[in-house]
Amino acid sequence: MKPFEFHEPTSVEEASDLLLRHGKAAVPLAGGTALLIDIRHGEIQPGHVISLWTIPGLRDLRSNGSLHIGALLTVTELGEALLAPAVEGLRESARSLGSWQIQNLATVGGNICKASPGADLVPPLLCLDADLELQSSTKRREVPLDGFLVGPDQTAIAPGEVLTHIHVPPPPPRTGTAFLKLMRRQALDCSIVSVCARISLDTDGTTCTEARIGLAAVAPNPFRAKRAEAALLGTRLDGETLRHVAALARSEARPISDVRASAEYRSLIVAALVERAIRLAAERARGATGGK
Amino acid sequence: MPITISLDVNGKTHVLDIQPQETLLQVLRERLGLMGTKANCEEGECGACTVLFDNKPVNSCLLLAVRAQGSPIVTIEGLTEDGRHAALQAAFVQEGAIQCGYCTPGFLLSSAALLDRNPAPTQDEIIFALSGNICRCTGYTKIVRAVKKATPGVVSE
Amino acid sequence: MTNAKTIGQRTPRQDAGAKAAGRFVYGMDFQLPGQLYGAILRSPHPHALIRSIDTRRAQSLEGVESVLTAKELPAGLLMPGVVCDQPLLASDRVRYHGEPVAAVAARTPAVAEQALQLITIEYQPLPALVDPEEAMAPGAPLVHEGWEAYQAEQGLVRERNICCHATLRAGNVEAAFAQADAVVEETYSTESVHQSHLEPRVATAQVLPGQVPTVYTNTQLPYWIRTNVAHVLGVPEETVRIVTTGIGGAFGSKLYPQIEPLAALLSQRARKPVRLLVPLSDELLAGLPRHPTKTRVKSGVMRDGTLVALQATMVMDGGAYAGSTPEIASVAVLCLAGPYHTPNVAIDVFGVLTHKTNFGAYRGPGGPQSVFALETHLDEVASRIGMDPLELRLRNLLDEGDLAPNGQIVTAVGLREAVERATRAIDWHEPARPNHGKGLSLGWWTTTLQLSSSEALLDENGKVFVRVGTQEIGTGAIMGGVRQIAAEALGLDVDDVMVEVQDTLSGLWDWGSQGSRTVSNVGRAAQLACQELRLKILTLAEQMLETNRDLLEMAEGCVFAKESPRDRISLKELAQRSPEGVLRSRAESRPEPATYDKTRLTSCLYPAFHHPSFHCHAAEVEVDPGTGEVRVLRYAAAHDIGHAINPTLIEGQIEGGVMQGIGMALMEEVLYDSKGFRTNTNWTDYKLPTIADLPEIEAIIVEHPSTLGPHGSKGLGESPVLHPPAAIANAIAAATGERFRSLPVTAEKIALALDKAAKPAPPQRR
Repeated sequence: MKPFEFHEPTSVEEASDLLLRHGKAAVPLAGGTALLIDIRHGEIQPGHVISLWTIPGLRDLRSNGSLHIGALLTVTELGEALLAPAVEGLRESARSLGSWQIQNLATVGGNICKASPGADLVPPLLCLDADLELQSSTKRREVPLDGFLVGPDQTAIAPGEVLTHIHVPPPPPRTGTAFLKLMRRQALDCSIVSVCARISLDTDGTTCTEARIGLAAVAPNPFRAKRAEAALLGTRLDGETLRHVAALARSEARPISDVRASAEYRSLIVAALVERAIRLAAERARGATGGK
Repeated sequence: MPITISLDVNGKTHVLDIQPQETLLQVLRERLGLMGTKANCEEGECGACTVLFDNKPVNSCLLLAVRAQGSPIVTIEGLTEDGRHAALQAAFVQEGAIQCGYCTPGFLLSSAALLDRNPAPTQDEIIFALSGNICRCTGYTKIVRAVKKATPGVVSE
Repeated sequence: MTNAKTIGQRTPRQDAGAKAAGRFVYGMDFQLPGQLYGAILRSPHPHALIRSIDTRRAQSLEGVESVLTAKELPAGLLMPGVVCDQPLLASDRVRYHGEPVAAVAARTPAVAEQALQLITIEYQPLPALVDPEEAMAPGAPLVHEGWEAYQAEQGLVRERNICCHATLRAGNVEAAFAQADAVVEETYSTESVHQSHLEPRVATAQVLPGQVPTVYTNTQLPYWIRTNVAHVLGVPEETVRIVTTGIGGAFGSKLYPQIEPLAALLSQRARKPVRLLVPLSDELLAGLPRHPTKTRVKSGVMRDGTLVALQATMVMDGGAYAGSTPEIASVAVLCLAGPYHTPNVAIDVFGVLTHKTNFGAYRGPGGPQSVFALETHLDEVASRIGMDPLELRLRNLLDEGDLAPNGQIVTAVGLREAVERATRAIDWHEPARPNHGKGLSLGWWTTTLQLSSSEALLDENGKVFVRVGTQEIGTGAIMGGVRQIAAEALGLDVDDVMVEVQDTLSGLWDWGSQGSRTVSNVGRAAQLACQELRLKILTLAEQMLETNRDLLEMAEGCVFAKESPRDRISLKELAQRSPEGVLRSRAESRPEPATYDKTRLTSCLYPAFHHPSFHCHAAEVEVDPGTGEVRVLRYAAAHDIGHAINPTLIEGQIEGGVMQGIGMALMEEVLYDSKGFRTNTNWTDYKLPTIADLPEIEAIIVEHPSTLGPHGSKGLGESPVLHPPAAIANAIAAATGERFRSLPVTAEKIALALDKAAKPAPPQRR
């Protein structure tokens, strides 16, 4: 790798100042699993790498209904901590990211801020209405994840800002999530298509009261298929509804052809996986009522 | 500009002057002469460079050496010297899980980390733990057998 | 007391302990003090003229000690080969994306990389020929304008871009087609796949004034490397020393002198050792992966399943230089013919030049492509006449003493047993469940022969060493099989025998660890050497124990009288008392090649399968109709390998080869775009099977002993990779009703085909 200067700020303010001072020549270091590869391939040529690991307070995890996730929590730590059934989809996405070795280095914040079109953790976080806490040396703000990703490898992070925490509000009772990822083989790959569904049911456990569908690798960024979501509300999630919703989600996707798959195949898969993910999420939501 | 780091490798402390862009893999092989950790893809795809970092398997090609401070690092040399997983290593030998052997250190470290957490892993748990290690020789069948053989009291499926 | 009986035992290998401890030294780990680091500059164009090369800035970079281009080499230097058409470095023209154009040696790898950036080359890009069928067409531009002037092997039929046209003719296919009850004709295609050994290719050369030129390299074939290094240094072969380091996988890729001659020249010019490594991206860019193929197969069959005619025409994309293509084309001829009785056979294999990397030897070269074409075709034939694919095979298989299509007589034919056991293992006749399917594939393969040499010796400490001239590439053939054979021949425990691989100065000439030959040939040489050594030991003991040597036994490190075991002498004492000091025996193995009918073949450099092995694979798959994903549920692979020297090692070869075949069947693909540029040059986008992608593979050992190898062994290393593409494609067809005739059969191909099949047909226009 081409040489760079390495900085170890001990506060967010210090990191923020460094990022501002060096501008485009600086990159923050989280897990490094994507960054090091980009540097080796010459896609990024930073003069300054700003480590976030010496900043305290970015690795906490609180889970008491809502989730408060430190941006530097590793993907493994997130996956091993997520026991609530309602967020099973997030746990599944954590387990599907890369390999165990990569999960032990990669971070939740890194996966979000890298903003890959196929970012594994983003569909479930979108389904769970995650908010992001961003800090700089001058201010702190909270923004929804939905809207933060603004293009392939691009976020709405302001110069000098650091993502410090991710907040996930408590999901309603009788909620289930499911994450499905299609790859070219059964492990260690970027997604061809990935889907997360979140279904909340009424007290009878039959009618859908809330729905979220997150799609990745079929648009410049992962996104929510909102028309498909709307079409689920108030329904009993019967077969015809699901097929209709899957078709809607398919129409909202904008897949491209690349080395992994053709646009045509991705489009087909969106429909197949959306239907399956909804079924699975609904099943889990029903299970969350304490019995079927 | 060189920086000074302190690494805990196989229970020994090493104080080194390195360049910030050196990876742990480079430092292990080129500065510490620990050749047991293998190199090839340099992008986390093959797992040949797997070491234990704070008891967790990681790709040392994706970890800057400067970031590898502060937690114990275990390489295949350390695993061998430690001896706790001698049964696992012996199982690899006995079961024919080693052909060219280039992937073996990585597989042993990932397997050891698995067994440390979970002495009686299921088939799925073994598959998950080893999916980040590629073998091009064995077809994996005997590797799985060897891991199962090393788990005390577990009957192979 | 009995002799040590090691044959058939699951004895751990000599090198396994060191590998498990991380102590084993591979080429990648080998260092020489004061070494420089080499790097290769490669063509960014698939086809271009080189207008100028300016190396001045590279040469003057601090830390650069040698820069090499074609200008520094003897004019017109071409490397040895079946067709001598390939330069060491491109001079006036580049013919594939990644072709080496320059090389440097510098004090650090970083400086070497920088030096490459400072070499300025003016290219004039030209259109690239990427379609071999286009390249064959009359009037196609020539990949080699000077093709006619090249030296080439006698009897090789080649013309313009066709570097080899190998044929097999038996009987009269046209007449047979006319008589057949059904004729089936289809085309099958396969993409290139890459060996992807875990350890990179790396060589360290030391060519210093007044010293023996030496190259340390992780090669499968040291004597061929020696020939090439001597060629570029302009010295006699015997004066060059090639030392093989430990090898981390090879699969045919490390047969070729991709880096040793360059490393030697860089070292010579810099007067320092030079380490030259091929990084993975370059290995994937411009290695020697498997030949892409397109095969038209037409067969005639009778209603009762008798195959009466087989016509196959294969176009094999050879890449930019002839390389191994002529030989591999010939092997494909025999594979396409298959181990069947078909009396009328017409096979043509064309090796065709294009502007791509030299496709080369990858485990079973020409094999899986041919078997895919033939064995999926035969399933289509079975389907046409409404017969079980297994039944069709059983009706047409070769049996003991039969004539194969090339006119060779086959013996030790374990084919029928392999077929029966493999299909039984997956309950072939059990009715299929929805979205599930079973498929099979069978075939035959060679045990390559040629010369192997070995030396066995008893040293002054009473230790036995068995020396061979070729390296362990990972299969266990040398460190397992040969060692066990040697121990058995001596009557000693395996632990008392050490195998040592010698460098080329030893003169232990060997045709290398390749072609499924290692256990049978190197083992045979070692066996002969050990038998002779045993005789020498017993002859000496005869005098010392005053007992006729026929009454002597050797075991547990001693020689003793069978009838009175207390009369004994340890090997150590015997060695110390030996009047000639160290006892040595050298032996060579050079088996007779198989005879065949020469009138049936033209331009076939590999005309017969010697002491052939026979094999059958059976697979059960489940296809997800929504995504097209294929899960291989069960996989049984039965191989007749003559006699099992070590079942663990045999199973290991079968399991590993099946895995590589599954990769070829479902996910591996070396991609070129339409302009001739390589696209997927990393393992992120060249997908290898992970542990999660494979079922437990059931390896079935069949034994019909041959007269070749020790204890009747036959070759094994390559055959396991021949069958998975066909077996799995056949299983997918059974599961889905859709036939896929191109590899890899990806989930995408399946899903799109199933989706299309489910849609109602568009209305017919009147």
